[in-house]
Amino acid sequence: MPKSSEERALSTTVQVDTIFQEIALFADLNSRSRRRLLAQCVPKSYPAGALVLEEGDTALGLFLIGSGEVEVFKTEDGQRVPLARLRAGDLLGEMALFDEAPRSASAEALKPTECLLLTRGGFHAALQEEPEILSRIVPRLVQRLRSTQDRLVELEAREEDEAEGIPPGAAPQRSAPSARKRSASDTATAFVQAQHALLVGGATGVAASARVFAGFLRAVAEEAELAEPEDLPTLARHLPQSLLAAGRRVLTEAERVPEQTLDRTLLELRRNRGRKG
Amino acid sequence: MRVQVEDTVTLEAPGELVYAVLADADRYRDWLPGVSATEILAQEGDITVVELRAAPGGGGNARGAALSVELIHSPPTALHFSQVDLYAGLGVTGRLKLAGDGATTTVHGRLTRRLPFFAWRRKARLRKFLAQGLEALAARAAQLASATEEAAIDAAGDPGETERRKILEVTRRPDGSTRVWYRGEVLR
Repeated sequence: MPKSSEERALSTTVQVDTIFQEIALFADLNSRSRRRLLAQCVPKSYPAGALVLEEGDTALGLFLIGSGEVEVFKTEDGQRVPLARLRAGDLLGEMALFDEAPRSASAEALKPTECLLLTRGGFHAALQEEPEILSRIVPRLVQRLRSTQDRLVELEAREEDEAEGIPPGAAPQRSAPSARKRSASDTATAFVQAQHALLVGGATGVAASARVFAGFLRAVAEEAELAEPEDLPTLARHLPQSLLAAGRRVLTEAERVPEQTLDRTLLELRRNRGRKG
Repeated sequence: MRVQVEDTVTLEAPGELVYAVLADADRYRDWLPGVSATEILAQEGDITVVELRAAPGGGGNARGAALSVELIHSPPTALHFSQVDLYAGLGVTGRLKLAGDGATTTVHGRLTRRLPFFAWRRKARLRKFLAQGLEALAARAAQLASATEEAAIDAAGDPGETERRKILEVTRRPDGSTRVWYRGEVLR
């Protein structure tokens, strides 16, 4: 017997909910939080050959692939360099939830592809209704950043060994990364915490998120041994581009906040920005 | 309390034309009631974030206010939208679904908003807003569907204003029929 449209919709919701549970980023969410996120998702279909994302575009949302296949690729010297193939249950472009940095690669549907689009706006709306979502996603993100960082450290170490002519396996034990690398890992964690603050800023007021962002700038300045923490151009060399963009957004928003509600560092940043502008 | 209102309108215009009007967020100021200015804030593929500024002389709480609205296009059949400024989550979200037979298009609109229980009267306002929006869309689509060469010249205002001419251009084919361009695309 054919299913009614309501039954089909229900079965799709259950399937998507199961997929949500299997995605590492959302694995710690409870069913209510998953429902909130699902409510913000918009179904999208792409025929084979359609471009889902384009390298360099401003990132505004993530895609959860429901069926089909998508190839992620970069274009270097006019040549297409495939990076990954994504299938049902994979996420595409999840960092878009946290910053507006340009897409680092393009993605094309290899087969007719059905996916769910969760925009940053939709994500923020879900956060407003269910702030707990953030506290369950951020540790996962930190974990991912740490493991990426560890992989990079490992790769660098291997390259150093190769350059020194040390055969694989004969390298000295590398139980602890160097101080510089450990501090880079801490910066990555602080980066996510700062992003967290920026997101919470949407819910609790921009002054609070600007304060945390200013605190993060101070921490980076200390790490980089800068005498002038408010020297944004110098800091820029030590910050990921996306975080700077996010910071600029917060500072722009903060222009509308009365001075008495801003802390000293933020005031200095604002004045410094005014002088440079 | 979540309130939801729905409405449907049938337009005497092909679906592609209606969708072209909806997709052109930068021109909402030309037909959407109460909107006096628009600015595209961000765009990626089918996602557009647009700022809609209410007319300074408008009534109610919207007077002079600006709303950031995120549009998710699924051409030519659906448009999802939601308010994404500081009031995200409390703002209006909605969806327009289009279906048609080529000559006419049925647009079904649905708006949802969270309201405090004592603000139930605002549901009537939401219903009115949806009805007025669909009515305006119908008028805009009818205007474009029935466009003539003379109407195009009127819309262009100053004939030297090429940017305006790109929005609506009507040319005569050798067989006498008219070809309508809207924002650089042939609509009929």
